[in-house]
Amino acid sequence: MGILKIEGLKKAFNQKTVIEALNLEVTQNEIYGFIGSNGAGKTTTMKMVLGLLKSDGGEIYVCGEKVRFGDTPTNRHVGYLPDVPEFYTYMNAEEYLKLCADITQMGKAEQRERIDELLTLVGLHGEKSRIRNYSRGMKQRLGIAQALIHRPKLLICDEPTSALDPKGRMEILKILKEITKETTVIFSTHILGDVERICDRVGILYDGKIVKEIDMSRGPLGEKGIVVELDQEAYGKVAPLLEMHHAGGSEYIIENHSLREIYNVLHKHEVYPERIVKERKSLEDVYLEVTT
Amino acid sequence: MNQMLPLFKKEFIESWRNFKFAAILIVFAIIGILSPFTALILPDILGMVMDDSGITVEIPESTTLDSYMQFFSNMNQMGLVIFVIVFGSILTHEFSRNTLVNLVTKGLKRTNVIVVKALFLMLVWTIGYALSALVAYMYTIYYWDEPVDHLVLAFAMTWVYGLFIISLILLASTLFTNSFIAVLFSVVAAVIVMLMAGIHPDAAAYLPQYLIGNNVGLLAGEIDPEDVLGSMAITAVLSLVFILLAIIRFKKVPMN
Repeated sequence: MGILKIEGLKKAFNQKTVIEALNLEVTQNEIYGFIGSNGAGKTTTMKMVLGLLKSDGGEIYVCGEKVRFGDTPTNRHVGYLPDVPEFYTYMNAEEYLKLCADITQMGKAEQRERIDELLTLVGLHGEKSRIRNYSRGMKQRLGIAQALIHRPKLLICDEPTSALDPKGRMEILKILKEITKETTVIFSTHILGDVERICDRVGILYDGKIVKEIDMSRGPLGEKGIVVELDQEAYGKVAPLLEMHHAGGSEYIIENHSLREIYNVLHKHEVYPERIVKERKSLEDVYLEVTT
Repeated sequence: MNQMLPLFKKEFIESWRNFKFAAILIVFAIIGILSPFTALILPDILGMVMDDSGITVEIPESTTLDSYMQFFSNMNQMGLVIFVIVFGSILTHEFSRNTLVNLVTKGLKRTNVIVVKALFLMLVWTIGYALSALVAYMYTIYYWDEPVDHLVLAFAMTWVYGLFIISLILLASTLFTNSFIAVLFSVVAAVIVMLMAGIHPDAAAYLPQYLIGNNVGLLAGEIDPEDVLGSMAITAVLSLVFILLAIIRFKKVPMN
């Protein structure tokens, strides 16, 4: 069994179904990207995994143990980074991590070592100011540190990069990539570039269920087609001969012809495109395919 | 138990750094100082007002009883209201800012949250109230030096009522989660309901409200110590029941 297993999960708010028969399995030491539009139910699913929200049906298992709503013992295996982590802002980072470590009932000697290690990992070592003075990026990094304090087997990150600037995003992604040696990460987001950058597997949440799972380690997601950039006159010459559709601006996508056929047609009609490129499908393309 | 100690420490740091603890100590100390002093100078003030109006009335000298009347009047109204305003958001604030999520997802037992907050509020109330009562007692001795009977029990009546208000705050907080205003209204509504129920003479002596309406009556010998025991016992039991209900409710509160 994987680190996380979800079977037939259901959740509705005021009779509006948000999650419907969701099945998901995440295996050890992978980074699983959980993507979907705003309101698709990503956060709801994560909160049910953490026992913070009650499900209307189905089962959730973390490390083989069933999750219960409320005080669920499975949380000892889990670290959680909310999208906007909230802290006791009158404390400094070290004091806050010590409180978290005390709550997990970690020994004093281990606490000191772990807090030092985590503050170094997230770049907050020696930061003595109170959390109320932190930037958003610093809070997010402290959020990762608190989530990892008890060496969880599973780290759940809910849109950890959505509120950050590009530099802040890169820092968070780098940290997430680093920690997979000892932790499995589930990472929800709607920033698909982040997912492509670090995830091993991706699940697309749509209509309350996972509609497609993609193994990112298997390489390209398929061919999108051949993109040709043509002016109006050139387009007029070759359009009757090549099946193409407008992709915006002066770009056209040709799907059902080989590169050789296209070159032959262009050469024969003395058309010289500004650009011709064989393009691969991006995660965004796949996402749009399955959600529209 | 191991989770309760760091949580208690957190509550203390929070109230200390946010000046809430200091504010209560200062306000309660002022009530302790001002109550006997007001009782002392009230006849002189009234005398001056009367003289200016040309009315000649014999105003009796104030006594120890007047001092305690001032103290209980101030503490049972202003003192408790200030305490509720300063500490009434102890749980709703955690809901509205989502600060408990990080700790609950680390295995913090929800029961411990309520128990620690109840114990902490009781400690602050006890320290603040004891300070105020002690200051009032010492100034009363200093100004009048007259003994009164059942003083400790009279002080205890308001103290037990304060514990009841704390349990009410916690129960209302788990019911209305992130609305401090709703908690305030709940406390006010509960007090109004008790006042209305107290109109019935058979019920009055068994209601929590009886405790803060009869401190001076006990000191003046209008009621016996046995007369307050029923109300004290019921108030203590109600406080315990409210805290248990708060724990049960809090375990089922979704955290969004």
